[in-house]
Amino acid sequence: MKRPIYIFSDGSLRRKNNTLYFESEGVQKFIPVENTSEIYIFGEVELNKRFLEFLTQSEIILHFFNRYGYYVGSFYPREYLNSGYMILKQAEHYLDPNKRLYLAKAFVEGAYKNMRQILKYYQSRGIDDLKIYIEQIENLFSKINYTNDINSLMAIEGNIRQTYYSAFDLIIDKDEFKFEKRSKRPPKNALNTLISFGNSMMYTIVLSEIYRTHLDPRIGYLHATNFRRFTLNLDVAEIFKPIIVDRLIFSIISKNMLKPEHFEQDLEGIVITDFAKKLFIDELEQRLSTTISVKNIGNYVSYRQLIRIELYKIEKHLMGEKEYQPYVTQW
Amino acid sequence: MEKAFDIKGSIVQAYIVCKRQAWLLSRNIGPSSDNPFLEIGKLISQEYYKNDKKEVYFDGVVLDLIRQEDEVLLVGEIKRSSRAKNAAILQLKFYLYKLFKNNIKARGKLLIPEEKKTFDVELTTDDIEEIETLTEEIALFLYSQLPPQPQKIKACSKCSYKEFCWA
Repeated sequence: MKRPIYIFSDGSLRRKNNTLYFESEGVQKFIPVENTSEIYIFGEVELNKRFLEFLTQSEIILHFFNRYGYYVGSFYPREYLNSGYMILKQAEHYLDPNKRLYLAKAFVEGAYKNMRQILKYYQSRGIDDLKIYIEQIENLFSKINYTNDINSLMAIEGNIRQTYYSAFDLIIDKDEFKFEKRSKRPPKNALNTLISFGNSMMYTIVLSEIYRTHLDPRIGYLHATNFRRFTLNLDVAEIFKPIIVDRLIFSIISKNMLKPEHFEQDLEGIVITDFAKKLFIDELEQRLSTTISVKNIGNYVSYRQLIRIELYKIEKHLMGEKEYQPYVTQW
Repeated sequence: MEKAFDIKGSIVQAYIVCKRQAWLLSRNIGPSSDNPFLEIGKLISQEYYKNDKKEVYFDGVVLDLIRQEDEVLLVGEIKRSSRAKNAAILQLKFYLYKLFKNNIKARGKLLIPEEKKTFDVELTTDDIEEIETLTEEIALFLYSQLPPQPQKIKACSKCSYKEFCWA
């Protein structure tokens, strides 16, 4: 089973004896290339072109984060699964406004339904006040039927997410992890920092999965394509953010695994410490390898595979084989 | 009509086992590379027969292995198991047919190193006819706008398209 490698220390990454080699303050480590799916770099790491060539040949994608835990970018090696047919289909569904709207709505619907499931889940566990929030997002979502353009669709999605986020204080109910309001670049408190970090991780996870399909990450449907940046991963991540990232945040905080001291005040705002990053990633990896049962596929499908399956569903939609229905969790 | 699709050996092989896979291959929708059986297959063709010429491009197809044997060329096709032996033999005959059309004398050998088995394959006049009919049939089939619906068959259990087909 291939797995991601996370590098937090400073050092240099190289190709040595046909495998990956990391050297840090005199400590040397070989990383088996066959078992590596992707590499996340959080530390200050030096690498060379020979190394990047080796990654390309081994089909390994590289994600960079800066010292604040913000996503910097990815080294996306040359596509090895290349289908001109699929690219044309992807473009066709972008250029035709109705086809684009169908997919964009499907992503909003998936995101909405999963956010609603989260709220319903905590409502069933005794937080009765969540009822108003659930009704509010249901109302907001009902407007989607009258929406005929991407901008108003994005506005609805934004409103739903805002309402959903404002319910976080009810769910978490801890003074040291108050949500207040969504703040980004920079986040103004620990919870917002955690959400931003979790979301960036989700975007890169989906990007890594897209790399293993025939889809082109530059053509998205909800998030506007500007032909430079990756956007399809943002679209698909919307569906999984609530059930993977948000659930994880609630569980880490309620188990007191993270405390305010795991966040630091910086000139730029509140930043996440390496300890908190590592803890979050450990939990995230566990969650991604948790298996659930999925109709038609089997009883042991991990959340990571579930993301891949979602991409296959999109491919089949683009081919005209089967209409895309977003994944909705069944708790 | 659009330009005809290139028919490769893998498409001939897939057509016998699973028509849907043949259609997907024609659109270059390759299998997901992290299927363990696919990886094993790749390793087998890498690790065995290191003294032979491998992965030789010829007239639009890739021959797993070639070996020069007094006047006649030996073409080898390496497989992980003998599960889909008949399809593999046909794939090999398709290569022999291509060589024959280019006036190259060749014989074939199906190689299954992990089972320590080999099968000799020759191209007969009947085979030539069969392959011509078959490739015409495949070419016609590939024109269809959509692939055939997935069907649960024996090959599905180890197939690298499994998640794609049933998603």
